[in-house]
Amino acid sequence: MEYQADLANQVLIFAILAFSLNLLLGYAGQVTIGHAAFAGVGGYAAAKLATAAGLGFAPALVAAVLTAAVVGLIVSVPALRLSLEHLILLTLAVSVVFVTLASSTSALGGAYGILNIPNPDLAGKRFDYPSEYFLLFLPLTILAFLIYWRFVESPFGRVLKAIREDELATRALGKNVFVYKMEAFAVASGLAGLAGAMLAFYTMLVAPAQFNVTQSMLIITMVIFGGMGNPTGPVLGAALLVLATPVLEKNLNIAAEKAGLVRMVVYGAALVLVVQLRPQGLIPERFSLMVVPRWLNRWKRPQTAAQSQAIGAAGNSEPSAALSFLDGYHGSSSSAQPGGRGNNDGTVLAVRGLKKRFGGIEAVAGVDFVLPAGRVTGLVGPNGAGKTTVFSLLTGVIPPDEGSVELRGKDVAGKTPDAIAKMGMVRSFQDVRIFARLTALENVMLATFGHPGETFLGLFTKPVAVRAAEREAKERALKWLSFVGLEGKADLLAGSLAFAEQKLVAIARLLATEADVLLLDEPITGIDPQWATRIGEVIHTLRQLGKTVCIVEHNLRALEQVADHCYFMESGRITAEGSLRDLMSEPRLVSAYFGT
Amino acid sequence: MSGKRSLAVEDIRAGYGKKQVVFGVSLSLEPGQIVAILGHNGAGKTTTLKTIAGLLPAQSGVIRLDGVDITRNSCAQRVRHGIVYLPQERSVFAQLSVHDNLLLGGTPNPDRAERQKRLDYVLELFPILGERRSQMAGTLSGGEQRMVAFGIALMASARVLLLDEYSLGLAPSLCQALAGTIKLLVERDGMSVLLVEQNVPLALSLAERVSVMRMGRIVVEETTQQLGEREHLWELF
Repeated sequence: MEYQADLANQVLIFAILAFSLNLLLGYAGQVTIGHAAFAGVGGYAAAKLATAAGLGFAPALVAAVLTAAVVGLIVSVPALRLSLEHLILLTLAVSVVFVTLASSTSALGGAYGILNIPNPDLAGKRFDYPSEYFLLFLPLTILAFLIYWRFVESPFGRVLKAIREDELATRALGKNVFVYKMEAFAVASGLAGLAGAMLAFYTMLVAPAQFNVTQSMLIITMVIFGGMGNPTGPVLGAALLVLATPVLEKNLNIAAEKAGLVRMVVYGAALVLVVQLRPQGLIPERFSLMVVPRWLNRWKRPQTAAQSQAIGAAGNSEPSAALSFLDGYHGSSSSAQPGGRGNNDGTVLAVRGLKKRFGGIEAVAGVDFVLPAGRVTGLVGPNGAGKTTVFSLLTGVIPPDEGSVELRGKDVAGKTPDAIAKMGMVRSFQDVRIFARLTALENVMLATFGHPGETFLGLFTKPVAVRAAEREAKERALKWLSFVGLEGKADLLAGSLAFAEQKLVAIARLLATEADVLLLDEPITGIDPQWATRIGEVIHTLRQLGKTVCIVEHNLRALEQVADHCYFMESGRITAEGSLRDLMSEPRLVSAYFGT
Repeated sequence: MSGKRSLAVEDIRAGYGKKQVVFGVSLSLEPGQIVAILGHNGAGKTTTLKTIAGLLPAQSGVIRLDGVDITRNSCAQRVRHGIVYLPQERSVFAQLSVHDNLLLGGTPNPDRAERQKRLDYVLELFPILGERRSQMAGTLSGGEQRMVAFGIALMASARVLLLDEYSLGLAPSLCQALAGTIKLLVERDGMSVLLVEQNVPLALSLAERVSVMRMGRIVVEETTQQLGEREHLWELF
């Protein structure tokens, strides 16, 4: 009995380590190989406080969680702008630093660590046997799991996944990606610290070797094996891998000294097998085991495309019927912009002297133009003229070298993409940038501004508001999807859609921000002629709703239908403007760009 | 890799895992012919091209080149036979220079002098690539990257060129210039071209024959002239 309880306790501790890593690795896409170090921070904090300061079990645990969370937060700051490879290096460094510090600090017991951690003593009851510890650890683990679940299977978790898929596109939807990353690191480390503290009290010691890079790799294996990105996968992974070693040892009569080796072989084999045979892990991301917390989320299992083929034509239904939904449209309370239609002279965006140089190349060489409120302006010109660069400068993706960008009178040059998005100016991308492993519906739902469920605080303090906001976001997202005729494919993973359908989802996502100023980068390219006309109708309707639109587009027939005014850009400068008709009749421009 | 090639596609079925997209498509292409595949979004046009190129396995059906069954041939083998595919997605080697990208495209070409000739030809076709030849391809604009991709396809001296929406994101004058180039290569070298296009007028100006796909099947197969005479073209889609 005690043997089983001991195994169970190990499973519980590693389950916490696994699912807390999943938050970072599986959901947020942050590859870290120093997770065990965070557990170590918690373990050492608990151990030191329990031995040196005589702190009891409960307060030591709380201190451990907080210490680990703070360290995680600190580590996250340099990690914010790092690419994948550099993040791995950073977390490797953190792990090595931790182990070295612990091993060489005499106050922390040096290489031997801290010993003789007292048994937990709660309300007079002393915990000695594994079975007793189990009664303590099980509720702790369940509590930790519920907190983790609340984070990941929620609007907040949806944003984490978006960050994993495409950070830039997530920022372009007004999300402050840095804050999310910091919060993810803090929560994941805090939970790891809990596990570290539990381990400390269980084994009655902490030593540097318990929290080194190898241990981190084992935890990663549990997550990958069990199923990254799935909420319960890592728990299964932890259970199976933790139990595999003792089971093998017992049945194969392996000597105790070889235990370490057996463990490495087991984990290594598991990793190789899963990567070869079942890369998505035992439980794939979209499979849901938990029925109980259904009220926390509404993710259905996405339909296979085979099922949607049966829906067939309905999946690509005509959007014209959906256009009528705009008849009663007044804009909603969660729309991005604070209000106001423009400056006194009727311009919403005024760009002056915009310049950007990349090394020796002047991509944008002094650009001036205005976007009148409620009008559609075209931006045309040869490839490589700098049109997309201008969009990136306007929306904060790239900071300009010189010039001003006044959005309703306020200079936004140099602001971040998420700040500008919140001020009501958004853009679409030439290369689409949808979130491939999220459903079409989830893609569009991410365009909601001010969703309480997307914040740390809102998630835990306003459950009712979160549920209501989620319902509303879902309804609105479905409406915008039917607007582009894709409501039949709402539950399909966006990455499995055809290119043109992905473009339509991206357009729906953009429209769902309800931003006032829309910069569309080649919205019609790659979309079949029938749909191109419909998108044109959508843009026309947006103008009627008072939106300000600027379009970069090579499809001149479509552009002609909607553009009120056009700017011609070549080699980084605007060299002509007028109606598209006028521009197309200038001989020099015809040979430079328009053709016959 | 000399000689002209005829391509025959017989009753191909293809898709992505459980998701079937193409349900029995047959096409033929003689040397020096240009055939266009038109259709709505998601009709299976790209899937068809990818299957012919060897990027996707055909679940059933046969693909023949000059009568020889190449259905089980790998993509690399097909390229060596002269089947070259220009993808719809942006597909350049972002970390390599424009020059290196184009050179890589010429790998299937064994003749060094021929490769150099081709490179000069491509740079003449796209002067801006000449200006940017030592720049990293990933730093070019979307349209310029498309030019690089087109250049890569040309470098391989294709016998059968599969163009997946080559006009995507290209300036109209450039599309027309490239249409001229395609016609020239077809006449001069006997290259055959299968092109998927959303730009219907462009497709009709280039192709002799048109196949219209809908929901994974070919619903209409006519000469360009016959198609142009139809009154309600869009209903086909």
